[in-house]
Amino acid sequence: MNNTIIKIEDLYYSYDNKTLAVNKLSTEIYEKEWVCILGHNGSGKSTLSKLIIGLLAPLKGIVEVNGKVLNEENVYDIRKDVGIVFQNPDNQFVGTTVLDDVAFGMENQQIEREEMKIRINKFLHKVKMEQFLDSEPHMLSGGQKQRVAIAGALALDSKILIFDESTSMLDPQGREDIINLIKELKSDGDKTIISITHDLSEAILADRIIVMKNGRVVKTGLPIDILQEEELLVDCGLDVPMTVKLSQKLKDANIIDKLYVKQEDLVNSLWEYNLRK
Amino acid sequence: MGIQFEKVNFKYAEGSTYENAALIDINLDIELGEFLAVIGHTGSGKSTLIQHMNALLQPTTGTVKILDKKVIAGKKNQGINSIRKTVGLVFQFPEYQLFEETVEKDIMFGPMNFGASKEEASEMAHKVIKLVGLDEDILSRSPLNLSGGQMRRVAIAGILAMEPQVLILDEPTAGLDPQGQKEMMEVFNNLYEKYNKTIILITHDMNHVAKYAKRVVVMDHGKIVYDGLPKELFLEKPLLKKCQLDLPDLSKLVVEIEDKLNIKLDNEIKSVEDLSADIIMKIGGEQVAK
Repeated sequence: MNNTIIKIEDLYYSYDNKTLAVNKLSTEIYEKEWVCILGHNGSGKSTLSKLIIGLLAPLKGIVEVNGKVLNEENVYDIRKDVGIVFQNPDNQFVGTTVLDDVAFGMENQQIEREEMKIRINKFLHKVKMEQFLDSEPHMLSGGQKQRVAIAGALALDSKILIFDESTSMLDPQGREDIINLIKELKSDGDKTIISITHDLSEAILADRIIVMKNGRVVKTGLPIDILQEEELLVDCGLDVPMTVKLSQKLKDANIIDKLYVKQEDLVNSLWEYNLRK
Repeated sequence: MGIQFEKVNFKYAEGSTYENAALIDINLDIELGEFLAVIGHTGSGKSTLIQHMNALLQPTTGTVKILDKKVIAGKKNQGINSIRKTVGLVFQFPEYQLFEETVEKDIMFGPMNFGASKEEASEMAHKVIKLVGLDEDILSRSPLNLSGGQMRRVAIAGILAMEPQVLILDEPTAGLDPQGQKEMMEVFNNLYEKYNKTIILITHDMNHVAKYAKRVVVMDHGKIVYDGLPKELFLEKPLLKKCQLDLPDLSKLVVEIEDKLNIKLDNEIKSVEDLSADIIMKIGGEQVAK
């Protein structure tokens, strides 16, 4: 296991001083892992991400990012370590063109003009948006806007990237593009990736899953373990993958001997059974 | 008497350099009481099509008949206001349009706009809030302090309060968690089955098309390229590929098992239960006999 890069201890947050959106939450995120925070609408996942980057201040508790305990003084330093891509592509496009949008964050960090040019080209190429340099936001699809947002985050060279339901407002093509990009960032191997979602097909790809419900972490583990826990997932407003439901029935009929989360593994196991008989 | 498109063409920004044909030669006949899905990738013309169904857009050429009203290209059309009452259109992310102080006032806005008294509108709010699966207690709360799923339901209740015969829904489950999606689809299915509402559903989720729709229209580059039964559409692999459409999860699983094991499974598989029963029948038999 890698070093801890984010450590959260006994964190509390409330929007209305009545109900706790984050309730005595403790968890750790490790360097260079792809961790998926899974939970229903209103489970506190997005609140947690805003607490990590200091957009919200907790009632109580500790957020430690990259060895620094988050406080009023270092919040801007910590934001240099953490880039975030939000859910709604229209709410985070601040520039008048793609170029301006990617430059915006770097201007705030007073990066040299020549260096900015290099990074803009490099990261727009990375997200396959280099031919849209001068495009205005209304000319882009939701998926394209999200890719620009990712280029903006990459240009700031943050160690940690949070994807806060970044695919939930996109069409299937847009979603696939973003997921492929996350996979690529993971295989490049130098970022810690936190993806917040209720999409099981996205969660399956992560190294580790943290399941949230009512502002708490209710379970953490490997996708292949977590995603077969039907009771837990349904209780958390989620569902189990269809492969798990099917393998349960086939296991009951003694055709296979365990539950499968990945479709490929289930089909292979059926294939072996069919050869053996 | 439902909604008929006769030789409808629609161009955005006609005559300008941005002119763009969004609908090409559309003929479509929707009966009252149908559950129809409209699918197609982004930019295929789905949204333009449904905006003709309640006269938000007027065709460039052709005619759209909406119940007893006609919307004809090039004419100033009389009485289309009442169409907005009979055909309710729920846009994507309708919760962004909530604005009143309380949920009740927000739901009452539509009916009062169409001449209902305060009492009638309030009575209606109490009725429709239950139809979308929410408790009456919520009526006194601010719509802006609800969860995403609750806000979505309130927005849909606001449309139902106008008692439309036809309900058009543009991606009503986008952004909801799996449980929320399931509940939302059950709300629509209930309106279709018990209240005899016509449901027209735009979606990217093929699982919903397979499970709920009785008929599916596929749009591609402004044209209707398929109009028929969902289960038959999902056998048309080349068409699906051309239109960049996916298969439902269940069909994907069926195809993959068939290919890998080189067996043929039943065409009528509708659920995981059907699939497991068929697999057991096709490959499980001999093993049990040993």
